[in-house]
Amino acid sequence: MTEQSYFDLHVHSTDASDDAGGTVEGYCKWVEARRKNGYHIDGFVLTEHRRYVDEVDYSALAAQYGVTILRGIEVETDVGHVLVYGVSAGFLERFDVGDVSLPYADVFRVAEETGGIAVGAHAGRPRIGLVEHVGERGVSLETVGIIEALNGGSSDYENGRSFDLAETHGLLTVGGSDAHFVSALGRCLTEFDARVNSSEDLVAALRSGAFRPIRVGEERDGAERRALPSAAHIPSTSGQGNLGGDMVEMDESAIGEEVYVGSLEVTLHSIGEYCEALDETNPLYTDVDWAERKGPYGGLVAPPGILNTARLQPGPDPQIRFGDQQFMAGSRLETFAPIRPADTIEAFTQVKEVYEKTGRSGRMVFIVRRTRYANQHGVDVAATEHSMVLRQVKALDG
Amino acid sequence: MSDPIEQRYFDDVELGDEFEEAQHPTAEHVRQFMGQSERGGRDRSGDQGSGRFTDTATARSQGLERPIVPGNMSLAMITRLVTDWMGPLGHIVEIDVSYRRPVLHGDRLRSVALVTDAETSPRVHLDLSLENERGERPLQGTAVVELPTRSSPSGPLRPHA
Repeated sequence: MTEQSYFDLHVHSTDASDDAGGTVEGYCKWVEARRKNGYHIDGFVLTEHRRYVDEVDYSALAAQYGVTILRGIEVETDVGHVLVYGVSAGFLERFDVGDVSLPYADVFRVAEETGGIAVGAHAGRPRIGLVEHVGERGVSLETVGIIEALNGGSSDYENGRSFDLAETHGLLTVGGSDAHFVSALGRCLTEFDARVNSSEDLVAALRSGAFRPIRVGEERDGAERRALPSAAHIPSTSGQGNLGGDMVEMDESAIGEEVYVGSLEVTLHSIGEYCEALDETNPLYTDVDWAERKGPYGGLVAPPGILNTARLQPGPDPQIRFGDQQFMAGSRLETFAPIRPADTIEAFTQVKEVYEKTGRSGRMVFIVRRTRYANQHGVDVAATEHSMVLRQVKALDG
Repeated sequence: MSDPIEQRYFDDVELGDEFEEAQHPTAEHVRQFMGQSERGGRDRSGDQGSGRFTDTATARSQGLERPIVPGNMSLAMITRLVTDWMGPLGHIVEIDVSYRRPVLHGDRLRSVALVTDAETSPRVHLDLSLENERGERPLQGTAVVELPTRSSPSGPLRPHA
């Protein structure tokens, strides 16, 4: 009987992916917990965005949790994202992996030539998957042998498009969770008809063709396997605007400088109105008597989210000349001390970083601003980081 | 006076525990929230005016199917899930989310949180997501909270300012 192994081929971690919230140890703990519930997963591959990080040694974690931890990379090309396994020094010498528009045919070819192998990531996603580029631009699949058709972060429709492409063009398919958070790991897997203990084993297994994508739970003994989707039977998902791309210019001197941007007066009344708008019922925020008698702070406090109601100046502006629309892309809140009625909270903002990436809606530029909040006693009560994404969009009507 | 909200204790939490709430943000909810946010002009979040949150024509001119829920409000909804679960003696240390897709007015959402680490008292790590009726996850993120233990039921102490 052939020995099989089960790997999640597409995982991002806080070690190197800007949009990940899962730590490598967190993923290991998750695997351990899933195994206790009868799920079978042998390991995962860290495929960080546009970075190949080999300084961190995961061997201790791997040994502690009995999980095989391998490294790959997710690069961005002119036909979308591509996963590369068996990344060698030779491959890294040939490409600036931070570039968001590498020539795809070269990526696939050079990966093969330098002892690795490349896979088209989330092939059915708009803009950053192969399907659209084949369909709209007629790009050649000559150098492409494998695509990721079962991606845990893609919709059923997007995965269906991937499988349709694979069937039409005779491509092999793999599965991966595209996990950015711990609980997503293993959502989709690849089943190999071989033991995989190293990157060399993984490349050999992928080159053999003896593998298939599966969904979480289907690797369990006796589990039923659902038919793989075709987009013909699945309604499409909500769309986003179309994207163009301009050269990105900016004033880099604005990055890093912290400036005062305003203040927020916190009152019992404002706390009450905020809670009413959100149907908040936690007595720590709504019941003065309870908060005084039983709360940990000796009195009523404000929900930390009240800081988001502050009317502040925008702060330093890197003058980025790209796109025509801004949307909120991410928020992070850290709390240090309670916010009380009668507090005056002052805010200080800096542009922390500016970076570029591609996504479903095409090319994007992200601005990350960090704001520090301090009360009238000079005590930092919280800090927020807000990430705004700049895009070019097309109107839906006219 | 009985406690109106259940208190969660670290001792009772296990990796893999999952909890959720249904959310249904309407245009009226958004208007109420925005009234609280004193939004106008180029506000702190960088959003260029409130039109995309309230007006269909403006939203569609920006490539959106219909008006959307402000990111801060989506964050507030998922934060409430966490505070409801942990109880008044718990404490949010940090919460970190990504907005992957717009949340549209009228979307029927599941706010979902899942315990991913509960080894080191009193801290619990959570994965967070908002999921719409199309199976998409417009918001994903993580939170770290501190919970009281049954041996220390008054809860984790925070600095008093």
